[in-house]
Amino acid sequence: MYRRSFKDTRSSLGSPNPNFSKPMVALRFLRALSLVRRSGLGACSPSYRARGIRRAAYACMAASAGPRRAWSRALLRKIRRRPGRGLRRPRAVIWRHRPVGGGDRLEVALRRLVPGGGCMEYCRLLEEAADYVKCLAMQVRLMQTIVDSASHV
Amino acid sequence: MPAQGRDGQNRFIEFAIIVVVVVMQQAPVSDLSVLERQRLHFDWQQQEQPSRHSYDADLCVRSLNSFTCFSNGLPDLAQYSMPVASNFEEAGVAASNCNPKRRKAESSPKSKQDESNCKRGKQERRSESRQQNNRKEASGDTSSYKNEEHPKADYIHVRARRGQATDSHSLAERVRRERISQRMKYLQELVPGCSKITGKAGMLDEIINYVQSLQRQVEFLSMKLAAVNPLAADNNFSNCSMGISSEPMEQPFLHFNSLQAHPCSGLDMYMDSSSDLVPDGSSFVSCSALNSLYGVEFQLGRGTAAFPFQSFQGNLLPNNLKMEI
Repeated sequence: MYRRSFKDTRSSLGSPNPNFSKPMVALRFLRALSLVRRSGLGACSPSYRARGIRRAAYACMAASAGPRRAWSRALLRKIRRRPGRGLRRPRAVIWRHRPVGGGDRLEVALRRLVPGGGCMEYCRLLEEAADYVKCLAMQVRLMQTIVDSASHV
Repeated sequence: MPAQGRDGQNRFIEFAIIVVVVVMQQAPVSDLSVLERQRLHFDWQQQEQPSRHSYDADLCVRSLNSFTCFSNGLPDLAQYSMPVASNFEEAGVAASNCNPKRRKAESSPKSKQDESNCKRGKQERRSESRQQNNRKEASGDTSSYKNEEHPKADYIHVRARRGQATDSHSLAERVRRERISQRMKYLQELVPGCSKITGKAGMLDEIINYVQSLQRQVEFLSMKLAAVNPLAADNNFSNCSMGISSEPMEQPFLHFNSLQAHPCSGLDMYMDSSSDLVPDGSSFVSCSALNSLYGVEFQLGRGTAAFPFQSFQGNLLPNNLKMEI
């Protein structure tokens, strides 16, 4: 049921959207929310629904950030991979420029946090982290507004 | 305000000119009468506020002069649009001049190779001479970098200082370090409360904490949304998706518009289709949400927002049909 929402996001991935288009993120997210809600009234358990909403939030964020960003591609890949893919033939992951020496624990922690941060140079990692932080902050603000308005009415 | 008034006046005058042209083409007999009338009108305007409308008066005089020897109509209008357009041209030129020229990266590796060949003393002088003109560009580049949002496509110009190693490896290292420090500065601006902290380790720590807190907030908010949502039945969205004529993306959007009575320029053509939709509690929720989200942003971006919707139409229709099945 989540695949449908991702098909939609995939269709609009062709256009490079700047992540400053907050209305686009908002629309996508509301749409995804409605999809989640419509899918059997959320499967009755709030935790299940929460997970779905969280995944939808990340998907919307990644979709609106555009395919030019490594973190958005990695995030979408991670989200789409989970439902029902399971054990496929072991795909050889091409680790482009695997960074050497994970001694710095801060760097390692950052790599784990930022999606797709495992095979990036340090410079690139910082860049992607900055963009990721910006998008995340926007997403959080958006969700906060929605929750606020929903709780007030 | 006077400038706007003047622009409005110019446009009005242009429109008046066009009208007069059309009239003249249709009824050439009454030329003089029309001209006389116009002249009287403009003279009256001139007398009223000579200082403000002096520019307009010039325009009018020019237009009137052209009318006397006027045969086909519209090419003369170009001269009236010129003074208005010249401002835009100047602005465009100024804007293009503001963007500093980007040096290609070829210059820096070339200089590095040369320096690796030469001796050290000569190296320094050469690097100085070659990069002296780069220095201005470097400062311009860094200043432009600060204005820019993404420090990606920037080429870092490194100056080999006295007493420092000038072989290619150390230069490359220095370039890398400069790049990293640029990114860190950018991150420092993004993360709140990071400006006080100096040092890479502390900043990285702060950044990691911030990302973790943001992710936790997303999780928490999604749980809250999951708890809140089933209370509001979402008929609005389901009705929209069954709509045949227009896109579900646009429909709820427009529905919000109609509820809030916002005059929307680009989306007006869809307004009639939203009349049959029944407003729900959730729609009001989303209305207020959208309102609070966009505020001025939405009203300003109305014209531009219309176009992405129109472009989405082709993409989203087949997907929606799939969903309904």
